[in-house]
Amino acid sequence: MAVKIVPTNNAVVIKDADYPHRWYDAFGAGVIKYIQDFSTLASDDTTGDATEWEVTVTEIGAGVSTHVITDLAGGALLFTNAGNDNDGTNMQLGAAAGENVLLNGSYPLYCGIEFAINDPVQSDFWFGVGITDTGLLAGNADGISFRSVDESANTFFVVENTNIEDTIAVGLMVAGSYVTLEFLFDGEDVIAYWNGQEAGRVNKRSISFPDDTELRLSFAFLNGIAAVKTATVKWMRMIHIR
Amino acid sequence: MTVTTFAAHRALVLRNDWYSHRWYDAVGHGVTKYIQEFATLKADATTGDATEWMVTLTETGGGGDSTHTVTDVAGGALLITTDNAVGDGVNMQLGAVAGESISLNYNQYLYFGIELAINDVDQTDIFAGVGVTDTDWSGGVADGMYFRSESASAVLYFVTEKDSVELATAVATLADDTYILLEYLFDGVNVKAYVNSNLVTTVAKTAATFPNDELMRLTVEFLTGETTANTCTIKSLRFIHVSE
Repeated sequence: MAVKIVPTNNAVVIKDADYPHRWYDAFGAGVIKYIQDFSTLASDDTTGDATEWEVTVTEIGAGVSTHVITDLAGGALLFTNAGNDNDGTNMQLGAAAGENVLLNGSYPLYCGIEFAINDPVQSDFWFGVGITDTGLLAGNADGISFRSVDESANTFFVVENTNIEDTIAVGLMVAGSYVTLEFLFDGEDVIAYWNGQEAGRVNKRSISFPDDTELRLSFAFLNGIAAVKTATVKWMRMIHIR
Repeated sequence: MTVTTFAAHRALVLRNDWYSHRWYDAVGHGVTKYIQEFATLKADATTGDATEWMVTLTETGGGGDSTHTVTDVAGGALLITTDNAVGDGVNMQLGAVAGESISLNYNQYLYFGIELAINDVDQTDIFAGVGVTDTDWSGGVADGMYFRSESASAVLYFVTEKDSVELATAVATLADDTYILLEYLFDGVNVKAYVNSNLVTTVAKTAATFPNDELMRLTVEFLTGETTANTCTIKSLRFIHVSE
């Protein structure tokens, strides 16, 4: 069996049998989740914006910053930026508000994404959970995320509480290559994984652990130079058990 | 137990205990799915169009619009109503302008199922299954695996088609206002089609018509075949794909 079913708090979690940090789904009391394989995405007829997300696009340069379903086996969402430095898309699940993740106890949280960037050295991305912020890459006060900024393909795992952050280098993105980034908060530690391998961990007693404010699933992708960049996201999941 | 589990590659499938071809859901690695019982449907507040679908409406008649709206039926349903010129109706492909996510070039699994009723089965066209991006299936779709019935006949065909070469097998005769359950399961070797739970035909993936070289997407098209508005009521629609 490739998956196993494990009781967690008052719910059951369906997780990978070989990679037990990899959660696929959960059912039961207190489960909050967003599970997306991008076979489709609810989108506004007029703007094309995802309707389950608070979308902030920056498109100073030529063209528009878009996020649309694309043709790819298994499904995918394609981000394409307008042409200026820092043009791109900031997405937070929900509406103007929507913070629903709170890590003030033994409340597990899984977040995962598989994606590729055409030019990771000259683009910025942010994925994880954070407070409401339409400019995540300009500095987010509270969150748990993976982050990479331009002039480097280094990806960092970032745990941040009230602007005090702990950053761990977890890997080097390669242009056009898919990478799976995941973290699991098990009630004690939040553990980061790079392509299925543990890449760092932070204990919940760290001063950088965001345990005093609600967070929300977020993704941001921006150009790092004045040229159009793309990111292709194959899947994205957030599963939280209160 | 009415539902059992089944390991498909690295995913867990929930399927009917008695009708093992009937998949209800899957969880795990490589799963792509759309599962809809039409308790509701995400729709644009202005146009009314389903926002998870690429919707193409044909409404040249003067009888009103071609629409697709959730309706009152126990268990949930989507009601498609056509305008009243021949060829008026709705083409829906999951995703946006693009959205092909299904590949059958290896031993992937694919389940497709739909339960529907049509008010006038021999004066309408219905296409339901997976195929390449094409907003006009009645004009011919190049690659796909689907159920089809066209106006002037109530005969329903199961079609496998590759590069515009098709194998069409008559599998049922539709009846007005009568729900029919259409399903197929590709198990990595054969695709087996079912009508009202009965196996009606099998096509091997080695067949020349098996669509194994194109990405495809979930599609429903319903058109009127006469100068009268007609309706199709869909109670459930599912595709579950396990890619690796």
